[in-house]
Amino acid sequence: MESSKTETMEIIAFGVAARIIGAPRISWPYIRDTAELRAALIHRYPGLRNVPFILAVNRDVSPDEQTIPPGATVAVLPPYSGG
Amino acid sequence: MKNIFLKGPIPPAFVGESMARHQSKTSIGAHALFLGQVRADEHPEGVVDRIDYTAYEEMALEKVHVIREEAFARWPLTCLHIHHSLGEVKAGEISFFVMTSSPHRAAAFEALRHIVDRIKADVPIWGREILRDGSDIWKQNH
Repeated sequence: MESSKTETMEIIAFGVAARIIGAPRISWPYIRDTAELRAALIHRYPGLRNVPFILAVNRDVSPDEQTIPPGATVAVLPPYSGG
Repeated sequence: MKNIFLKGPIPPAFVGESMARHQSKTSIGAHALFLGQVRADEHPEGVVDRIDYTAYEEMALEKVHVIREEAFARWPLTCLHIHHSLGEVKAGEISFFVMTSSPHRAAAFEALRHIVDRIKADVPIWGREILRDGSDIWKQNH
């Protein structure tokens, strides 16, 4: 039987965030903005509370919260440490 | 978009070959080089043996592209080369290489410092420091 298809989005995680989430890539029910998604992620993965992560929407980072278009890829980015 | 990543440490010969490729570009009067070397930092948890680098590659390459374009717009650069390791790099090995080339040294020096700082601040790369006992901690840039 076909179930009603709920919209999902893809979340990718890097660095310590990937370890806390337990996978580099997860599927998540669609959420319309980064503020709500941030709260939902912290609720589901309390370890993220201690990481000052930013969310990139389709590789775009903004100092403000962003709207998430359907089908977007959202990335969880802990502080960078290249070099 | 140019790829900046290479697997493992940046070999000293790679740096030499990069320099050699510029011998035909005789308008250049100055190359400035930055080489980032993995440090055996002593943390309370232990001493760093190596760093395992990962990146959000697509986004990183876009960011580096913008940094390159801005640098060429701001300084009279003839060439700009940026390379960063992915995967494991041992203490004492090179993980980050930037070379700016210009007719005169001032632009090469200024641009080099700016570009290195921008890459460390704005490009999504992460270093996982693996300690001598095999445990790990996530590197923090200062």
